[in-house]
Amino acid sequence: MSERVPDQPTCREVVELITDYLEARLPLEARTRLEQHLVFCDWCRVYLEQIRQTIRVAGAVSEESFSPEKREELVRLFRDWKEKK
Amino acid sequence: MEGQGELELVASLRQGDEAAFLALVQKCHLSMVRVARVFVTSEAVAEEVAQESWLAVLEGIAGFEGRSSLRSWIFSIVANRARTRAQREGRSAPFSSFEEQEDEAAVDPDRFNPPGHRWAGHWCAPPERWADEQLLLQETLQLTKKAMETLPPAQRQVIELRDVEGCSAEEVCEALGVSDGNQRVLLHRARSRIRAILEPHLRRTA
Amino acid sequence: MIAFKWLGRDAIAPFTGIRWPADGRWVTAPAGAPEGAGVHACRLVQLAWWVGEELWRVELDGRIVERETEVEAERGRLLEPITGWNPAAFAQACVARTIAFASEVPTQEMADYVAMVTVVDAPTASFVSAVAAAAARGTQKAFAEERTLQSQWLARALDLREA
Repeated sequence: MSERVPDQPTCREVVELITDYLEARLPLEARTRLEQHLVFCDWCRVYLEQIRQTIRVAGAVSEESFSPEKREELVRLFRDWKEKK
Repeated sequence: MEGQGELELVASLRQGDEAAFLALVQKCHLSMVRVARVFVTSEAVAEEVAQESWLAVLEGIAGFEGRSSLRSWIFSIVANRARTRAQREGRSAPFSSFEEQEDEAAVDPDRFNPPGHRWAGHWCAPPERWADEQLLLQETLQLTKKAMETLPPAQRQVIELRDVEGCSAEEVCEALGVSDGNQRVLLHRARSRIRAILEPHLRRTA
Repeated sequence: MIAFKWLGRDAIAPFTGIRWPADGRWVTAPAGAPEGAGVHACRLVQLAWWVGEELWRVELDGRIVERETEVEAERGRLLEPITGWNPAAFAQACVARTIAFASEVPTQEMADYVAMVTVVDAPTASFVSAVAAAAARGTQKAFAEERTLQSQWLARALDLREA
C-alpha cells in the first residue's frame, strides 16, 4: 500500500518520526503527512500518547526532597568559599 | 528561573549573598547529582562531583556572561567534571559516545507487517492504550527509574536533562556539547526504549 | 476567511488533546511560531483528508497560507458545529467506490481493499478507498484526486458553502 502512495508514511515510519514531530522539527510536508496518517490510524495515535505518557512519567522521576543535612553541608561550602575570597 | 529573576540571582551571588546561593542550591542540587550520576560509578561520587561543581560555579560566577541560561551553564560544569572524574576512574566511554553508530529501531520490527504484505509497515501487534491512573503508581515510577539505568550513557544523559530535568534542547546541546540533531536522535532512542520497557507492565489495564 | 475544522468529541483537537473554546473566542498561534504552528483548517475540497468526530465551521484571520490539503492561519475561532454529519453514510459511499474500482480491475489487491473498507470507520474508509483509486488507476495522483471527490461528496451531503 505504501508502494501505491509512497508519500503516505507507514506506521513503522511514523514511530521513527515521532520525536521529530513532538519537537516540532519535522519539515512541514512530512508533518502534514504524519498527521494525515494519525487521522485514520488509532494505533499510531495510541503510540503517540504513550510517548507523551513516557515523558510525563520521566518528569515525575525528579520529584524528591532535599534533606536539611545536605543543605547544611552546602551552606558550609559556601561560607568557606566566601571566607577565602 | 528565567530572564530578570536570573539576572538578579547572578548579581546577588556575585555579592556573596547566602540566601541567593541557597535558593539556587534548592533548585539545582539534586538535578546536578542526577546528571553526574549518569557519568560516574556511584551515588557518593556523584554527590562529590556536584559539590565540586558548586565551588566551580561560585568561582566562575564573576565571569558568567549570561550567553546561556544559568542552569545550562551549571549543567555543563557538572557534565564536564563528571566526565573528567569518570575518565580518571577508568570509566571513559570510547569517545564516540555521542555518535551513535548503529541504527536502533524505536519499536521491534516484528510488531509491523513485513515487506510484501498488503499493509506492509503497518502495525500487526499494535500498542494498547495505557490508563493514566497506572502511570501515577509508585510501581511505575520505580520501573521508570530502573529503566533509565539500563540506557546507554549518552541516551541517559539526554533524557535526564530533557525529560527528567525539563531542560530545553538548546540547554542540553550547551551542557553536553552536542548538536541539536544528535541530541534529538539520542532523545528519540531513549524515549523509545523507556516506552518499550514500560509497555508490558502497563498493558494489564482493567 | 470561512473554513472548516474537524475535531474530536467535545471540540478536542485530535493530535494535541487541547479543547477548542466553544464560546467562539479567538485562538492565536504564539508570535514567531514556526511554519506549521498556526491554526489549521480546511477548505471544502480538503475535507476528506481530516475526517474526525465533529465538524465545525470556523473563521480564520491574520496571515493565511493555503496549502494542498489544508489552510493555516495566525488566528481562528469556532463559529458553529455542523449538524447532520453521518460517518456511516460517508463510509458506505467509500465502500461503494471501492467496489466499483474492484469491478473495473478485478485483482486480488482490489479484493483485499474491498474486504478492508467494509469493516473500518469513516476516516479509514476514506484512506483505503483512496488507495484503491490509486491502485485502479495505476497512478499516485489518483489518491489525492479521490480525496477531492470524497470532499465534494461531503460538501454536498452536508450542504456546506464557503462564504
